[in-house]
Amino acid sequence: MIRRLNYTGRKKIPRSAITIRLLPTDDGGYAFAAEIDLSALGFPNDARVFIEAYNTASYMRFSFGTIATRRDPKDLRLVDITPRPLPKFRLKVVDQTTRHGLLLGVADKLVPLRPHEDIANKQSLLPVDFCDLGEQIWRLELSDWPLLELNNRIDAIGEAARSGDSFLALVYPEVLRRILNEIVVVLDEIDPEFDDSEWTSLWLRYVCSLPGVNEPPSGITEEAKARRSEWIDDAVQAFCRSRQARRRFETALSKDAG
Amino acid sequence: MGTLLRALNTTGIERFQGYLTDLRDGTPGDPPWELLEEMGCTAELPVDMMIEPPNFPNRLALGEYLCDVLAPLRPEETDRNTGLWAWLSLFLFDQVCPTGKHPIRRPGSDYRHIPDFGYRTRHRHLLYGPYQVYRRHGHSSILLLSGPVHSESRIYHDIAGRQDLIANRGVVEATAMLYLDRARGVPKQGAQAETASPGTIRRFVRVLQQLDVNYDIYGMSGKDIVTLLPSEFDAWRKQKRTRRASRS
Repeated sequence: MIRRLNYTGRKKIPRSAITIRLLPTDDGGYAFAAEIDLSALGFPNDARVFIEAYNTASYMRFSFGTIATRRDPKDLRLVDITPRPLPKFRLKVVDQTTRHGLLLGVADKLVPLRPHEDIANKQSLLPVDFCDLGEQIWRLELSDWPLLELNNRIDAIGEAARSGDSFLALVYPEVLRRILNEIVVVLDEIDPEFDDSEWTSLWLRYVCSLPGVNEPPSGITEEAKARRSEWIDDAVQAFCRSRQARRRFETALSKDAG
Repeated sequence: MGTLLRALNTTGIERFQGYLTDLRDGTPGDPPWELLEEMGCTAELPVDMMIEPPNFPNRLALGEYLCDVLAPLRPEETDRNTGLWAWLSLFLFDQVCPTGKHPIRRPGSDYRHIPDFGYRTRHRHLLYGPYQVYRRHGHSSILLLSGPVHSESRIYHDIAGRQDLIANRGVVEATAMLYLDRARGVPKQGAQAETASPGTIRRFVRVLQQLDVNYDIYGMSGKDIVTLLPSEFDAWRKQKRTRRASRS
């Protein structure tokens, strides 16, 4: 991963300062509502506040006035954003007193709450979205922030994903494996302390908190890469152990057998 | 009159995939065009649409055509519809996988013909990629979508492969301002160098990613972005066309 320098002292806006919730619209799309509190961050009064919504190649930008005078746009419908994959958001505070707007603060990759989702899920490591996946049961979307998509054609899939023993034993280990592969092999990110607002760091921290899991091996040699694959295996094993995946799967099997 | 647009179903996709595998294994054969109208291999779309595509001179014309013809469908009916894009690929197989000088077609990876909507490969589908770029940027994507239908340019690859760049209208405009030979509608010579030497498209991408940390790139026009770039881009800023063309 190429490191980028923050040479103008741009601030990181904590995720706790903003809550975004998707709202269904009559035409089957989404609008959104935003709660923002930037009062404690010391931005100049005339700095402009923007929220950007985006996914894959679609993008929209909304102006929320200035730090001193917030003006919510009248129309917050995401008309240019495709409903899938679930849109994400970015909050920006911009100094527009010069030709090239200088970023004073950013909160990036904000995952919105779905219309009736509990606020407790706001900072979920693995947000869930329900959509039509045809014959597929689940799908992992890895752009920007890992998102577990579940097939909304299946009744009670949400409950199964939340507390089903079979689901836990069969699906989540594979989800974890793919996420860790993306982080340590594809993105070459191994530092759990790199950035506490990046999903890569948050996932590494979570995995390293499991009993018996150390930080991923460093190094750029083939041997080091091989050790990372072994580390992923060990981490998935530790996850299964901590969740008692085998025992729970056996219990589920015996229930099925009647 | 044209042909009724449909979508391949699971069986149709598997058979098309089998054909692609055979081609890669060196087994020549005509594309399985019979699948296009076989009831057991296809599904109807919500709207009846007839298509009769021409030979496209470049990916821009292709993107424009697809946007026109698919306009009756809602975005959610096109955006993750593997069967629709696979059907279109098979229908246009002579254009997305021409025989050219070689007697055997060379299809490349499956995702070029049967879309994989993962973020690393979704733009690589030879029809869905240009469609999506043209839908967002229209004619401003002239540079990104230059070149023949069956191949992607490096500029397309470097910009379209990065969600933060391809979504940004200013970036697409700036790319054309720097690297488009407007007289010929193609990239200026040297812009697509493999190495990240000063001023090339690869450097452009890296510099933008750095500037994006401190500047509100999304709020800028293409012109603003170009003026913000460091001096290594001066030669491209001044150059209106490729050096060779300007001498002639």
